[in-house]
Amino acid sequence: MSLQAPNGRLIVWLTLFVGLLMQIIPLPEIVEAWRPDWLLLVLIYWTMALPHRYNILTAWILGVALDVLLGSTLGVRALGFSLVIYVVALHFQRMRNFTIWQQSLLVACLVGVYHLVVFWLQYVLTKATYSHDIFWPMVSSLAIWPWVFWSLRRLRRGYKVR
Amino acid sequence: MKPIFVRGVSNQFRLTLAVIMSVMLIVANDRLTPVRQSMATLLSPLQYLASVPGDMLDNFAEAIATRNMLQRQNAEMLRQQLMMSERLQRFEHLRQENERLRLLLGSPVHMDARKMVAEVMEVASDPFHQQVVINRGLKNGVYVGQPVLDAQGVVGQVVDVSAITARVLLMSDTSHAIPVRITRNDVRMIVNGTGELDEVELRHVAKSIDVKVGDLLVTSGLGRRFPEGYPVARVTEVERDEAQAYARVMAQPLAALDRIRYLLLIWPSLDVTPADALAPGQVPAQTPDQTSAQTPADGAQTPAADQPVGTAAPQTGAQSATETGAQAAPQTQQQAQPNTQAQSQQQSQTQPQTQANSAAQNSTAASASNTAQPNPVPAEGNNTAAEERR
Repeated sequence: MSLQAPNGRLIVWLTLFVGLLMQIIPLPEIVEAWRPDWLLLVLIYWTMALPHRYNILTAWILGVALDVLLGSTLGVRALGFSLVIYVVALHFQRMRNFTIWQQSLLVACLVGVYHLVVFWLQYVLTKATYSHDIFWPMVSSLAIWPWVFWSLRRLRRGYKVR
Repeated sequence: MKPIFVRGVSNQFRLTLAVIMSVMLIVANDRLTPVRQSMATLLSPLQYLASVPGDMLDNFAEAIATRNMLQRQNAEMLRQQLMMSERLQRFEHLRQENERLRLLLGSPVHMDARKMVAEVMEVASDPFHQQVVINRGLKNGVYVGQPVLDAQGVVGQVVDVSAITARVLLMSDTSHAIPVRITRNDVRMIVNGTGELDEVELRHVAKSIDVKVGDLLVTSGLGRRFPEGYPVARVTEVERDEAQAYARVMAQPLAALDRIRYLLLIWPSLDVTPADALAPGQVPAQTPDQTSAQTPADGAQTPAADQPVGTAAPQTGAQSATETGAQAAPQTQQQAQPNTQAQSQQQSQTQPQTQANSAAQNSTAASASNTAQPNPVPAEGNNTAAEERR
């Protein structure tokens, strides 16, 4: 699709792998509900940066992997990821031109949408009970996005990922 | 240079594809066990990797444990072990006695189940479900549906297995249920999870059922998944509201579900026949308060049900024990359904011979006749009829 030869695929998959790991690493009970959605943040970044290589289907595959790792119904997080990444893939050019804080706010909204989709599906499939906990990751993702963004941009430039 | 417009598959198409595939996965979820199993195997190293920090912390905590702490712990363990071994001595005597009695009756002897200790891995799980990951998998012979216990009681069952890890659904999850009976009077019930770690509920309990706060619930073995006799929960609340169709009964799991660390996987022995697993669940206790709980409907039905039982000769027990073993399983399932009364009456001629006394026969027949009730109340033995036959 892209006219350039791909480069640095390994780096991208490595960051996605780390994101996946961060999703299942144990956290103390108090901060457990605040766990940022690392994997989704990394996916959003790569979709913004290289929308023609990493997009909805990448997100879908990783969503299924996350479903398996977390032991939920297969396809729930895959669907949530796909929807969010679709929005990012549509508006990647606009998002690139946002300031970092505007980006953070948008990312927080996307994380919120993802959690709502996941909760809604879980509610329909099994009797998940609602709690406000599902919105805490929005706050933590908002706070953590600039750092994710900067470090991944550095990686991308350093390794000339295309 | 980067092209601004790149042709390729459109995002809409990709999204549609992803949504369709997700929906297919969600719908087919229950039939995808092998797929899930292989994917879990592929990803399980990740789980081990994720649990490394937690393990390191644990090791560190153990390394800095003081001599004093260890000594105290050791003393406590020794004390516990002494208490346990005393109980074990008594238990051994009872076990032998039980085995001898079972041999006399010609019923199969209980075998020891194979056991294995597993450790809970510290990895995050879906917040909407109550699950833990353990460090044993297909390689150790773990299978889906396997019962999992801890030192106090039932924890849950395995729902998902990979080569080296397995996922255990806790009994407090909303999607989990265990058939149980009350130890005091053998009333059968089903324990449902509520989503709270320290509370489970007993649904569809008729208000006339004899259940009290403090009753111990043990597995009844009727679900054919959990072997019978393991403690599950203790009743904490019984509320009989006239406005409600059923009594509200809550219980507290005996296993400390919020701080499980080591678990026990058991392989219920295969040579125990269904009758063996079921029979004790049907033996009613001859406690006085049980007969007092007898509902009028039971009383009216018992004489009719008693007729075929009276004709069955208790002495044939030893010969027909093997047959009984084969028949008892379907029969108890029928007891739980209405409209099978005639069938269960027929079978009740052969079935109760595994029981220890003739009073048991009566009550199983009564429970068979009892099937019209929505929640089959196990039968309260018709003691007078039993005495007549003696």
